[in-house]
Amino acid sequence: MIRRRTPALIAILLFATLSGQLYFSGSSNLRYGESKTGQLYSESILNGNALLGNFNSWFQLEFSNPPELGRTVNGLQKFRLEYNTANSVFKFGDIYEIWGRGLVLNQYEDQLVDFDNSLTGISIRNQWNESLDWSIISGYRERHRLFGADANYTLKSLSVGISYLQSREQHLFEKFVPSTGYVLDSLMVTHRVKDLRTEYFADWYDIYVEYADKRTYDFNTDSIRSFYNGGGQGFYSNLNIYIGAWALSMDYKKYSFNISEPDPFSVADNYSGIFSFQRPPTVIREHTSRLLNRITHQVNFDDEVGYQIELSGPVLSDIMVLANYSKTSRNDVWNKIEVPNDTTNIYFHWEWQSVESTGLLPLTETYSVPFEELYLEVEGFSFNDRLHYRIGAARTIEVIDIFDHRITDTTRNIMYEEAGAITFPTALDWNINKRWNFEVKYEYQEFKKYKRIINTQTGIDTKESLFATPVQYNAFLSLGVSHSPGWSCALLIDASSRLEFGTTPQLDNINTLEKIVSNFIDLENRWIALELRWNITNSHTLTLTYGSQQGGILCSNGVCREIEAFEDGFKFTLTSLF
Amino acid sequence: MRKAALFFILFLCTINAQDQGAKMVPDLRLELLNGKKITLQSLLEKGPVLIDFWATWCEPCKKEMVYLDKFHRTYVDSGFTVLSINQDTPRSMSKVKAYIRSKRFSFLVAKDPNKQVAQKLNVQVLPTTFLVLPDRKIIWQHVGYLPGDEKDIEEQILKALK
Repeated sequence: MIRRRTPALIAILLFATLSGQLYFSGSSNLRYGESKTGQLYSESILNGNALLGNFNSWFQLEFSNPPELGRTVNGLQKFRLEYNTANSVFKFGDIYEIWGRGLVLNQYEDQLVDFDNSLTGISIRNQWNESLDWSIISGYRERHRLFGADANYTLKSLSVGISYLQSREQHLFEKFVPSTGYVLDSLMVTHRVKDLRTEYFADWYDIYVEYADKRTYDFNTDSIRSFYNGGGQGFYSNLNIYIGAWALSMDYKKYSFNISEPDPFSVADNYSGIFSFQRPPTVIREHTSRLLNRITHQVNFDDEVGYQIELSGPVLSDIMVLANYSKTSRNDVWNKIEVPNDTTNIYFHWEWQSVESTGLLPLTETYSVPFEELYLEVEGFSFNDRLHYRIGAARTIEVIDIFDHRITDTTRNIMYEEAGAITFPTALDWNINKRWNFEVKYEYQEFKKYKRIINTQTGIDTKESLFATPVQYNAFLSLGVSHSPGWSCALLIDASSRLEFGTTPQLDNINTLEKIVSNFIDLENRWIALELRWNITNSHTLTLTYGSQQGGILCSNGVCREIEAFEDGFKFTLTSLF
Repeated sequence: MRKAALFFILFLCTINAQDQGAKMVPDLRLELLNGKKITLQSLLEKGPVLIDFWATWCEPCKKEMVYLDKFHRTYVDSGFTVLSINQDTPRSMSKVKAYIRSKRFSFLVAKDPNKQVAQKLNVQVLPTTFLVLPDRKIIWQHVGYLPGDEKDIEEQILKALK
């Protein structure tokens, strides 16, 4: 596809440039990093937009060898041509669309976690009249061939939307052949999602409700393996109430696209759940704190029920308060039950069985895999707006995995992994004069992660920490100074008392900054870095980082990636807008 | 590799062939937080527009917005408008209106949940600010925000209003 696109793009650009009618703009992001542990990346991404009358083309070139995340790409990565009329937009190329809040379709690119679910094809959007607009998309991505239509009707403050999305997928799976072992096979699967939504705006409140129904059909009846042709539903709603400058925001979700047992391996070949074009709201708070982001709940879009309530407003003219509470759990309560063998009728093995549905609200009990978080924040300005402060506190509790849950009339046998944390993120900005600013960020966290085993038959009741000590103490300190509009400099200190069993310990190499800091503070596991940012012009920024950065889970938009630690090295980033 | 080199040459030639003042913004179609649909052109008919890309998780953006609101209130009678384009995805979109209301911001806020508007203006980092004249030409742009940058922003607004 790239080979076919390249000459077309060159021809369009040349023609437009020569004709003198082309308005061109672009941006580039050049990144390079190298560490003593052998990590190396080199990435150049160029985005360009050409405007010619009613035509607008966008393209993205990438030259990476290797990239920081994902696969190596050299050449034209994305291309789209748009034609705009007074009431319509026609798009051809790489399409990104969002319908409703993403229960049916939500396409975006997130380079932070190397996620992209765009579609190569066409899209047409039309504003039929003041009230009605509609759109259609058609195209393909990897093994999916998609077609979908969406319509919205707006009458004053009320709007109603309806969508339909279909994908024919060549689904890959591994099948076991006795003579050769596991081999790769495929079958044709059709996904169909229907969606209905409504939104109403009033002066003191607004409400949004969306419902999606997904069905999956397997047409390959000759397959050796038999698959479950399933389906499920997703429901999301949001209510905001405004009283003066105060706002109460409530979100609710019930995603039951594919209700499954707690064992995560059992869904590996199950295609009847959510597919990559659906990205519904997570209904948990999105944090800016570095330590809180590391323990973000990994949302199960297939099987989760939950809500989030947030109250925010001013208590005095310069002080804002915010309180957020979110809670989720799986849809069903699971128990392992002894199942008799079909032929012998002798009790033979244990199997997960849903014994109860949680209903509309999430549960707190361990066997529903709950997550709960309370976050409080005070933010404000003081000293004639020269001091800005933000003080937060969060309490997080989560059951991460359930390995065993067997309850009979006489015995209880439970094994699960749980995590809990208390986090205090704080930030302070002091505006020294019109151009100079000093910033301190300090975050502190007490984190517990343990495996709990209860067996009433043997009398075992243990709580085994996954760290060498019962509690892991984490801290992050950032000391920064900036001079507008030229430059900023920040020293970043990330420390942890004990690492989790099984994770790679920090290597012996200590960078120069860590040597200097160790004269003042004794830290066992620390990642220290110095970041310099120079605004060369209003549109060109150079960032240089020297030192080490801790790895771990990085989550964005419900997509999580394991990021490797960066030990004793340099990072260089040049961002330009032209 | 040849293809890559050709692209870069073409790219640089095209950029060098025009001055900064020739950069144009397409007529953006936007949906505001209250569901109303507007076009950039309809705002430009009144005077210059400062377009600001931001998100609720972006701390520098929030600091900058305090000043943008002041500028909007001060110069709105002269035809100037601040148009902030929110980049929150559906996961945090429900908090945007609550945030704006609790801060009592008076400028216009549009939604761009899958960054399609940002892509048209080549936005890579937040905040990014553009000052656009009624003929849709960008006269000033700024990437990032450091405390103190608001002085430069106001200077540019005053230049645009002259």
